[in-house]
Amino acid sequence: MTIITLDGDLAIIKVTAARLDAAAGPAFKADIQAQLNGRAKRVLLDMGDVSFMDSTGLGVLVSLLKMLGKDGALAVAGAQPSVRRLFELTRLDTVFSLTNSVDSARAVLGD
Amino acid sequence: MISSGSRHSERPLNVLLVDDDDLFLEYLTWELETLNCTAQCAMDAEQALTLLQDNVFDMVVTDWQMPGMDGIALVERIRALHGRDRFLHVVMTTAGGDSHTIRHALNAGVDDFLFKPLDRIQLELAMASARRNVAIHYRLQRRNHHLAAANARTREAYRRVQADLDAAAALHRRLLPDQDSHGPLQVAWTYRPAQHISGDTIGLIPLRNGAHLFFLADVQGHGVPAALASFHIHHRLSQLAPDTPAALSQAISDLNREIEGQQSESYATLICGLLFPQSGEGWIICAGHLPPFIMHLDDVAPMVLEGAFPLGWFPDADFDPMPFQLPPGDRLILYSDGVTECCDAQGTMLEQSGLRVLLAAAKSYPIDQMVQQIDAALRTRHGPAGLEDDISLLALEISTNQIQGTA
Repeated sequence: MTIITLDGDLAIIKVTAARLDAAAGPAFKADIQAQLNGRAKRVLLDMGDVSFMDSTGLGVLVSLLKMLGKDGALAVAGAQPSVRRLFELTRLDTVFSLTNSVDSARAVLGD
Repeated sequence: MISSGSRHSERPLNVLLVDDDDLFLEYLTWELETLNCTAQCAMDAEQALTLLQDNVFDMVVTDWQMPGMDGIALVERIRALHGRDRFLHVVMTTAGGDSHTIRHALNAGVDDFLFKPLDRIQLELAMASARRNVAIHYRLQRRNHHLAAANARTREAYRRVQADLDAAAALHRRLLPDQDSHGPLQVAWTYRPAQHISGDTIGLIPLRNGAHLFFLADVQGHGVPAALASFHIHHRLSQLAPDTPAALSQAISDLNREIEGQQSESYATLICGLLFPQSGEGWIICAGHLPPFIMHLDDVAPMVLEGAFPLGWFPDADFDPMPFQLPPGDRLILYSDGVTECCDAQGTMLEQSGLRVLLAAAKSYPIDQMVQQIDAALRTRHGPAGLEDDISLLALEISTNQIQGTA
């Protein structure tokens, strides 16, 4: 459900599931943990295909952020309106950079 | 005499022999004893039935043609008396017989045939097959016994877990607000866990300075871990009982650090505030939660709030209360996302807009009836499919005829 590409310390994670929820969240997290394994400092999360995210999905993104540590950076590309609303509601939009496209997310991450 | 050592390490088969020929009985008894069997003899069917009543046999070897009740009738009687689950291997001896009669015997419940005159190898084969059958039967019986015992233990464990969950749910329910003892402040709520116990909690706590602390928390996830966390939040907020905006901010910051410090990845969204029913003044903190609705006489709208992070994510997060005013007759409505994400049969969520429509339709009713109507609408919406997420909704109103001085 995830395609992860590593490019130096930048990991590009494409979430291919339509729902990032209590059912899919734990597997998604395990997948990321196994593949990143401390190798990335910057993460670009392509969420264009995700139409629904619940509190568990959101929790996974926060643990991903914490996994990156203090100097880590995370940008989200292409969040659909309902997902974007959840980021805004929980103020995560002040922690992640929300961008419309993968290219602008790359730019935000200084790539 | 002993044909196989391993075979004889098994217990002897108890065999009932039925034949009107005593010489044949004697011969067969002797042969069977060499094959590790103990035999008892009956000269006719009646005697056989009496012996079967008082003894347990693994096997019956019966003649077919006997004076009185014949072998087939005897087998029919035995099978009828024993019922399906009782095992008994039945062999019929006969000097011959057409296929029609043999089929008749099979239908009556005969398992095998021995043809007279008996030869040793035929008998050994029949007894080996009988022994295997008996062994399989007893193994199955033992296994069934173990399974039944294991099943009983599982059922008992399940019953205990269920009882614990019931007790925990009842305990959590007792924390929920009293519907009718808040002076000028009217309160109504609905609270329905998706599973046994809920990660949501609702609180309304009267404070010494006349204010009421109100809150609605929703812990991420469901079930027991979420319920324990929401219980903790409820308990801590009641304990801290902040009665000023500054104390409120401090209490939520403390709670945030406590949850973050648990390193459990658990987090909660929370709306928490203070309301002074005498003046209608209030302060509110919205930590990652959906904004409450304010209901005026002619309008229902979400409160415009500067939100904060949910509790448990970032230890240094700030939680600044925002002031608000609740004039008498207006209502403040807090709800969990289980309400707005309540799906109909097509999987369409209610959304905030849908809740707003429901509230607008029910706003002329007294506050308790309004909440009942919303609850009924949600039940109708999710139908028999049940809830995916915990549902909780808390409505507050300062009564218009409030000058009774209670606080």
